[in-house]
Amino acid sequence: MASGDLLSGFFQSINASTVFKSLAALLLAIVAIRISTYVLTHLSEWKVLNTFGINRITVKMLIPLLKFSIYFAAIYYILVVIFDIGSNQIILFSGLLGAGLGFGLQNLFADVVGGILTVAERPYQIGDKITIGGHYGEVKDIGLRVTWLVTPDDNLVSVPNGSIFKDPVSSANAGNLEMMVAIDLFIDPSCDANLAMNILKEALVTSKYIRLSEKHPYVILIKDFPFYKRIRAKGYANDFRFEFLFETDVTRRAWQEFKQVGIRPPRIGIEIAEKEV
Amino acid sequence: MAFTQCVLKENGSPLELSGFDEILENIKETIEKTDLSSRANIAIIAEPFSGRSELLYKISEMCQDRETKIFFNRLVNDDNFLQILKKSGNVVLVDNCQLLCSRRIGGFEKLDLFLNAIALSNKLYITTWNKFSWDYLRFIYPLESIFPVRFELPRLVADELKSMVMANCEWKLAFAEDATTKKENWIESSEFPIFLKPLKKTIVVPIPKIDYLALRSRFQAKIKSPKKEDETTIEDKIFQRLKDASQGNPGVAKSIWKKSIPGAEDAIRPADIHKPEHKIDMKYDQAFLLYIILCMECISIDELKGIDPNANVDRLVQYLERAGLISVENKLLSILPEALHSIENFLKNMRLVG
Repeated sequence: MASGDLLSGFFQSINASTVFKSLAALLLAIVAIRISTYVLTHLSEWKVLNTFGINRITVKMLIPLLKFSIYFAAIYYILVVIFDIGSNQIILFSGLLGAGLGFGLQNLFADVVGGILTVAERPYQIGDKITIGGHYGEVKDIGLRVTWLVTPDDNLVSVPNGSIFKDPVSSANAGNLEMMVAIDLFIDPSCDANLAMNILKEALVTSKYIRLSEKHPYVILIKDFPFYKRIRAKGYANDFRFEFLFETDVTRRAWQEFKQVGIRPPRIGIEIAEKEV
Repeated sequence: MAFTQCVLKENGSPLELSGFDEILENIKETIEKTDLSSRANIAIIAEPFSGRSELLYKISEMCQDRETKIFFNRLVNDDNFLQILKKSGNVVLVDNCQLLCSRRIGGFEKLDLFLNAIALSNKLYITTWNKFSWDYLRFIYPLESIFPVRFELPRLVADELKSMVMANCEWKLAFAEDATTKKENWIESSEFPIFLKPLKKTIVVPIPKIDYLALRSRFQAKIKSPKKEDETTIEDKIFQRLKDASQGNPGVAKSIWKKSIPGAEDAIRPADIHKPEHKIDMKYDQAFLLYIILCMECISIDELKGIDPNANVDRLVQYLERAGLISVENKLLSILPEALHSIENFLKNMRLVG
């Protein structure tokens, strides 16, 4: 059969009934996706799931999987059941798609493939805190074309899924709720570093936001710099949503205590501040 | 209807406990093995109201032939406690060691000194710890190496709870079948509200709610008990229900039992034993303070304010008291026994308890 016949066969099948059916199938797919996303998102926030060892990311992981399955089922239904497209026509469409890619659809195609790979390989999941394409935030949604991130400043950023081919992706929690947070405090080199380390340790382990377990230990480190000493506390926040609260809580209480025992910030910092004043 | 003689020792000598014979035997063995070169300090770890102090009291009776000193809350509240420890006998029993620390900067000083004193001492230390505090502190201190011998108090079975209740009750009790023979529903319909953002409306969806207590009492007797249905006495049913409601915690069981007794004249029926359920709804910051109360078992309002100076502790205390979760006495807060498992479940949901 000639390609002209194949195309004309396809165009002949387009009529009011098939268009209506296709639109209805698409609409149904969108409604199904909306409902399942809504239900799973709300279900994931149920605290009672923690009792059974299921965290919200495990539940949210199902959202893109379900979404992609529904999209593909809808496309399959429209093409194969409504338009009755055979294998020859699919090959023909693949050819047309290849031509389209050449004319500038490659970005769209890369984003869709990136979306499929993201769902299959899971370099990140909905709910993870990731850095991708220079943006840092919590993954809100993984769509066919873009991934939505909410930054710490509550900005909604859309990152094309094709970014996973170009940029490295770092996930701070990798599917877990706990997240390692590093808290740096800088003190004057003349101050008692041991005392400062002990205070920072106590500020860390007594924080309401810390998670302590065999898998989630903590550590206090010190590093000498020419004009200051850096004391770094590393511990896991109980939930990555507490990342900044955890950091703030530890820093605030540690400095309060530092002040009481005479541990000062680096003199160079004070001098710069004084000059600015 | 069966009549049973009970003796209630209200505020008298310690609660009579059964079910700890094996642990007592093991502890006795450890003490007997102990000499100056091979001492192995003991930690008894258990949730609140599980009979830690009563067990320690029994251990002190067991060690009477040795030079023993027992410290309940007095030691941990005494600033001069190191001197007291030095003067004590060869076997030192310390109750409620979780009270030696407070979850704030500088709050570990006393515990530090205590653990150092143990490390440098030749005495045998038998200590008790709140399970939740232990689970936190063991990641900060090498508690496992300081206390190489550890016992977790077991949950009591129905028969053990029965012996405990019988030994601590003082009036004649009658047991009777429930007035109606109708079996309890183990599944009920409850309402779950869902807010629909686009419509700005809340709809109520009926969801099934399983009453585990009723379900268990329906099937457990058949599965676990070797007795056949007709051999299970009404007493067995009542104490199995008490065990399920209290999860085998003697203090919780005692509290439920006291609230279940309708009156000295009336007979007690299985339906009188209610599983206490508390609806707890609070934010993470408030839940953290509830967790602190659970860990410490007894804490003053001022200390709680010191742990989280930004929190409105007075308002929280009022809420917790009204919700029947804690008791407040002389500005001291403690968990109410019947609320223990509701609190534990809630804190598990909040990921504050492992």
